[in-house]
Amino acid sequence: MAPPDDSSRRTAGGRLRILIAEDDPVSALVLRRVLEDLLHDVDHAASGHEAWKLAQTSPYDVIVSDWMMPGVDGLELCRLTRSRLEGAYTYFILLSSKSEREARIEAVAAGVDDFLAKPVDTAELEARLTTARRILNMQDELRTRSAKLSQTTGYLETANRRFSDLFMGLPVPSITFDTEGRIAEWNRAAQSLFDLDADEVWQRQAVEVFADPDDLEWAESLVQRSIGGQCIENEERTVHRPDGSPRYVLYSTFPLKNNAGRIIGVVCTCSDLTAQRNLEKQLAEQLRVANNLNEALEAGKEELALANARLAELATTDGLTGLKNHRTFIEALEPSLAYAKRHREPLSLVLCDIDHFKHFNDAFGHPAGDALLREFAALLSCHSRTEDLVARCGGEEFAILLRNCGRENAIGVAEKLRAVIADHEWDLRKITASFGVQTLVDFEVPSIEAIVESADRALYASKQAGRNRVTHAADLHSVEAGKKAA
Amino acid sequence: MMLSEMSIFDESKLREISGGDRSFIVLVLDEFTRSGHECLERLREAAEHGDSEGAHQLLHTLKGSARTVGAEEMGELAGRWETRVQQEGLGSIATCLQELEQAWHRLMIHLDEQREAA
Ligand SMILES: [Mg+2]
Repeated sequence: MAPPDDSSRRTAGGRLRILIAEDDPVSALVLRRVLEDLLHDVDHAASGHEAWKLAQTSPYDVIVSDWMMPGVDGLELCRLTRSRLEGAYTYFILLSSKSEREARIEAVAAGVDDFLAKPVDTAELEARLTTARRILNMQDELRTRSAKLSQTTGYLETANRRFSDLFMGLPVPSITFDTEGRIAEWNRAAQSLFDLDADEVWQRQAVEVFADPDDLEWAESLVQRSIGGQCIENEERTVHRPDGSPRYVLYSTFPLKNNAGRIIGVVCTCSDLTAQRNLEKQLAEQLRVANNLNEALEAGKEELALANARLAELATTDGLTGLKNHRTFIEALEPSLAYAKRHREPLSLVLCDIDHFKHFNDAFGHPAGDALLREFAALLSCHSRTEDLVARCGGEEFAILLRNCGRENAIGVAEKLRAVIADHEWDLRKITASFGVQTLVDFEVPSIEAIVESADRALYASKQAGRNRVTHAADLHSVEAGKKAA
Repeated sequence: MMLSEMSIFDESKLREISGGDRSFIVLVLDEFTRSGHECLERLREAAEHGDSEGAHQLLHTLKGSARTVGAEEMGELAGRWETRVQQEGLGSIATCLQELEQAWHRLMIHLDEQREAA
């Protein structure tokens, strides 16, 4: 509704738009003259009906109406005028010679503002119009204020509704409670977090909702500190919903104040950490499982290392006799040779071969042959020094590497072994072996192959000389040299 | 005040209203002559049709316009008959008509004399 824009009637000299409703043309004529002399704009209607038609098309500031008119009389015209809800106020003066109290009461009830006796007195009419102007100005002021008020009220309502929508729709569970700790507002996110509808919690004590029954002391403290004006940041609690499921909630609060700065309540946000905490638990569980797997893996690795060591052992060992195999023996030669050279120590190699082993095998069979080889190997091991490396080099041939051992010592070791074997009480028949020895002394031997080869020649020489004997490669040279010389 | 003591016409009212504007006074009296005559005719018709409500209204109007122009005797007479018709209906309407027509006649003669004098 737009405020009336008719400022002219507010000023004392301003023209008023006046309608005369009068069925008597003489009275109308006189009245019009009087009003026009007072400088107002005047229309005349000769009946109540005509007056109402005019008033509807262009509202008047004042209607001066005769009471008694055929058809629509003065009272009816006044009622019709008052029935108009829109537009500016119209001041209604009823002309009458009637002075009965009851008639006047009826007229006032119909909305008549003032009465004027007929015939009209000019001075009195002027005085009444002054009153009319004052009332109209007041009515205009009232309408302007009322329009402003309703506009302001509208803004307030809109702002309120907008705030309420915003609060209700916030994704963070949010609650307000008053200074008595009673819940006032409870948004949708709070409903789903606590699984409680707003009407279930409204005016309930916040402490009952914020914490489990065994945690009320904390909840009391939160509410009291908040009401006392503290801003609380991120206090985490576990709360159980009505169905018993836990919720991990992070509480923060700040006080609500009125215009005077007095605390009138508290806003509380309750961030739901449940998903995060559940994820953390899941992660911890997965880590635990992974850890167990890791432990199992470590244990497996140890077993594997043992197995590998056994495999390595197997790879370096001769399956039948338990001695080192030929490959391992050859591999061990090189570092031993390098060590001996570096430390200028003597190093001797003994090769030995069981005499007539092929005949033994043929005579007593392979199992007996294998048993012989095992017993033979055991004798070699048993009568060697621990630092000596004893190996089976294939078939009935064996090798012994003697570290820090010179020619004479080496011959001594070989001789001792020959005697042990020859003197041993064998099951089936007497067994002997032939030995070839080579010693590295001048440290100029070009290769492992050369040492092995010369030891092998010495062994061959023992075989040639009738078996069951020891030959040193160095003696072989002198023999050959002797032969050549001879 | 007795009817006989009242003046037929008091021009001071119209002079006061118009500030002595002669042409306005003539305009009003011409209108009063026309409408007053019409009023009496319609009163007669209402009497013939037994329309007491119509008669009452016409007497009221006649009273109002007579008083407005200062036709005091006419106004007073119309006022008395208005009350009586309202209370008793049309029982004495013939007397009413007769009295009013005589008063009207006197008034018209008076106004004619005045007009000629002016
Ligand atoms: Mg009237």
